[in-house]
Amino acid sequence: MHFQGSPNMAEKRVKLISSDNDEFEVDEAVAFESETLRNMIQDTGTNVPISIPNVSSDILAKVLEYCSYHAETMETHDDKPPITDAQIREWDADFVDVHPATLYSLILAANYLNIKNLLDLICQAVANNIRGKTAVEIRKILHIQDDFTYEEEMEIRRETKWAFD
Amino acid sequence: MKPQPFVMTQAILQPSDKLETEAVEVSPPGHDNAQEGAAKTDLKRDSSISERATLGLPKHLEDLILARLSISELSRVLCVCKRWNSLITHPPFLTLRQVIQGPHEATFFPVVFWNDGKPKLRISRSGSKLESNEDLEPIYPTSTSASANSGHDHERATWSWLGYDSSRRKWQAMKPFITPIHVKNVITSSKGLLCLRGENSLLVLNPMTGSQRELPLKENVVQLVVDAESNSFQLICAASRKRTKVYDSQTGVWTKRGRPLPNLALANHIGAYCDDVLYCVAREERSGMWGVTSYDVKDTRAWGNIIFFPLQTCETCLKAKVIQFGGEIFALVEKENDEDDIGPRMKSLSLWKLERTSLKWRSAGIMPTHSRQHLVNLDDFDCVALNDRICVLNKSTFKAVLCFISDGVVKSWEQFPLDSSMLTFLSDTDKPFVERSIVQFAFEPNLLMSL
Repeated sequence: MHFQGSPNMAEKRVKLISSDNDEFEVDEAVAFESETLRNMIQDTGTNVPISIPNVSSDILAKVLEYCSYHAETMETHDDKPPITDAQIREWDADFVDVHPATLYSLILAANYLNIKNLLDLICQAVANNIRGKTAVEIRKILHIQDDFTYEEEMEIRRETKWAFD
Repeated sequence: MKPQPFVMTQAILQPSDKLETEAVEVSPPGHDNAQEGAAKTDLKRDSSISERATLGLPKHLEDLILARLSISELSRVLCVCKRWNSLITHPPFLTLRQVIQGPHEATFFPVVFWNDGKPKLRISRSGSKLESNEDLEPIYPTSTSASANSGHDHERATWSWLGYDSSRRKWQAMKPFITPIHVKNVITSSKGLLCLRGENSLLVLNPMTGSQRELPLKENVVQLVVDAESNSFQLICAASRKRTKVYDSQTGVWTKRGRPLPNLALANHIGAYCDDVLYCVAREERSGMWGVTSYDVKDTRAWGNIIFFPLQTCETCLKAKVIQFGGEIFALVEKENDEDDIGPRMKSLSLWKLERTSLKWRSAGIMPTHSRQHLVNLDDFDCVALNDRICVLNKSTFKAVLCFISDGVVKSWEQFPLDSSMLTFLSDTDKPFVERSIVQFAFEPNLLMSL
């Protein structure tokens, strides 16, 4: 699978290998959106493919989609008007409009690859997602074990009853 | 020849490791340490993210998500697990929350309080005096409870309250709090703390945490000054011709210094505080003219002369409020002109800004007729600084007008869309309100201030 960035021949290309051994090729500028990849590339150069055993290809594709869009928003073109903040916000909102399970994997990938803006974006999306959800639903979404006894949980529910009014 | 792929290992992941280190400080200790340790080992052995699905997110990522919730949203998810339940009192998490949301995460105005605390002696329906509350059916099941400390003042009352979230445009139930039963009035608020008055004490309290400090009763509280950085507060009490009393929470001592000038009558309401100076509305007794007098809280501890409102000779001041807005002092003055050849008596509402170097008032704007009509009448108005606006509220009709100020001048007057269903709620006579008040401050919750 190849991920096409902008066709700028002067750009160095970087090869990335996902946990399920799919190979991705992106512009250096796209990879540089990730602090982790930036540090690695600066250490080892672009000749060696970088294996990312923590991220599966579907999630890596999604992350690179984010990185290439945001790398592109940084570029200035004489023939195209610059991308506005409102357009970026709209694009970001569409980007996180995915299943909670995908958000869950994305948050780990964004943390692992250290892409701060993506991490902020997804944390906010997950926060919006759990607003108004029941404890049972939230535990399911975020894979959290219920470690309360029935009495303990009832006590907390009584104390926080005001917040449900 | 194909180059050997470079495999990322934990050791290379310095940047995200750094995040993880910060998170270790944020996550409360004593919970799930064993599980956390196990999770890390697993990650090293087989670092596929899909494996994490059964383990839950690293704690610092959960914290980053939860730090974006409002206090009521956060309270609703406390019952998810023990670690989440402990976060709301965990200072590192609360600090992270403040970094993400900013110090003023929400402003509630107006705020409505009532308590269902019962006086010690009550008249039963049959008209006979009852000696104990136990003879009465409690109005709410949790309304009063005896505290562990026995004594004459062991009875407690639960306060319920609601705040209007102006950014979300809805009424929000606030966390109920408990006070000694004799506490009857909410006087003022600053930076998340409330000041209440009882029969024999003053109470300063953070309603979000329950943390409180009881002080001996002093009359005429005119200002609560909170310094969030040093986690301390000052309470200023001032009255005409009396020594001004200042309580400092860091020393726990009341000091008496300075008296308002003898020819002035201080208005009996909350003043405004700006750059260590307190401003109070006052009237010169001989002339009956209104203005503002100031008290230097930090240095001289002395009161200044009155700065008169610039009224025309044909105008009378009916009511005035002084507020601090954006680091400046403003006064909202209701005045009435005398009946004359030109027309009948007219009331108007003017906003003035104090030029603090020249000690002169400069006109900031006059409320237009249609805005004044929106308020219905001005019998019971109040004004507060609300985010980037000054809000003028009629407390009996719940109509409000916002004025947007730039460069010391009102640029626009807008109607503030308050949900009036509150009025029905408040006028419901079946509600067991012993005490209820709509108060003259905006409340900004703060989970970090403790007393």
